[in-house]
Amino acid sequence: MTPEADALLNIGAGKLILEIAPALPPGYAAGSASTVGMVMILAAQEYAKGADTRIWENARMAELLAANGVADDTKAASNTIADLNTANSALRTKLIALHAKIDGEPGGPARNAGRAILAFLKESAARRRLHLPVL
Amino acid sequence: MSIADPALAERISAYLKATQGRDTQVTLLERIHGGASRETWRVKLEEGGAAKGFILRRDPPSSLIDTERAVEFSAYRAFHKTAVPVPEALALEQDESWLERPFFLMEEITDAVAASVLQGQPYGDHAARIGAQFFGTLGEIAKLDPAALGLNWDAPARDACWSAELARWEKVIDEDEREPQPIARAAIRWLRNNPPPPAEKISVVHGDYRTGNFLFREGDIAAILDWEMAHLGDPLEDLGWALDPLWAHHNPERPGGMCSRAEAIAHWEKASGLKADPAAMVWWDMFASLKGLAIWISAAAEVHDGTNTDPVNAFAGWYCLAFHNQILADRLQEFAA
Repeated sequence: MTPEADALLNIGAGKLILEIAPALPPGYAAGSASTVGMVMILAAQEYAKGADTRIWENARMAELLAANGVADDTKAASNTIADLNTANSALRTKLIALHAKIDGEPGGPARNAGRAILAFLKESAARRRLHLPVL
Repeated sequence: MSIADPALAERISAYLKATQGRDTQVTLLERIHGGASRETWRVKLEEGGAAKGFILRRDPPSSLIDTERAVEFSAYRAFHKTAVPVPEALALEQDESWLERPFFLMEEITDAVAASVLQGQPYGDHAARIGAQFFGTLGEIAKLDPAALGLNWDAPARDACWSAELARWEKVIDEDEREPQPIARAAIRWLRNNPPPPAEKISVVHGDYRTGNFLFREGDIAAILDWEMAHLGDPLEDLGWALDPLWAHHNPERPGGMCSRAEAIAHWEKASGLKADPAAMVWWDMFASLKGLAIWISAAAEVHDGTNTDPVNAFAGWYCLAFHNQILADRLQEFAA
């Protein structure tokens, strides 16, 4: 589809923030119109990278679980965001349990496994970060 | 003059007549855009030929944070007698029959504005002056004796401030997460395993002391607002929150968009007479971002569940949550290195 959804969301956000909100009387309606515009900018970013981020996260979490002997056969039913999220939540739950167990264990292997999980969380957070224009 | 909600205006007039014997006509009623924990309305009255105004803070149908409006009201009332600039608290009404939900009334501060956290440089050439007042006023709040202010709220022991707050916000995450939160869980474990030193003293903690939650005119702070999360605890909790990168107006080198971190802490220490122990601040900085994450998780839940779909909640549940996840994940990896 051309234009794509992210382009349409950004165009709509521009209309709301730069044209419609300033034309409204100052107050709740104007502020809400601007905020909806900001949310549309975020939604455009999610449209562009949301599936890719989740596919990467799910594959990396499966690797971490396997490397630490955690049985897992989680597979997303499809690459829709909804199905990827379902798998993502299942994998996150197992990763949280693994991380908590490792945090309580002494020794080099546990420390290295903990560092690998923290590196994943840092990369995941960076990929999920959303950005706004400075007003 | 506009009346955004005629039925609410009628109810306000009826309330003032019944409880205060005032024969008034609401001439303006407009909702102010802002946080989602309370509805805030600007009200103008005509009374005996004179125009008067006040601010109405009403509980929303569903609150982002389950705060007690009596706490906020009593904080305004207590600090109005001090050097901390706050609007005068006028009336607290818990009876839901008047305006459908509990509310309180307070003085309107006119000709002053609040910064948006989205602005790049909201304070312009006044940033350093505002910063001195902002962090100095926070020090003043820390210095004052809660009992002398008449705020006899439950006080934790000096060595239990951190654990009480951590438990409070962990509970929020437990109740409100709608998807597993691995960064929050890792941060909670780190905070529990690396406790800070005991509080130097027990102070009033504002709970949401940051840029955007005060009004200013040119280079002067006119009023500190949004006391709904006030409680007693370690004053470093507020300092960590005020210094959090989310409130830096896109420049982490200028906390609050005002001054450097060193300058901010110097202003706070001078006004409070306390020390911001760097070791303790590592913990309270980390906690601030975890507390923020908990609030944004709640905001996301409100939208997800349809209980409060204010766009502010949608924004916070996406942008702010992703922001604090990254801050926490970066720090966790730094600590483990």
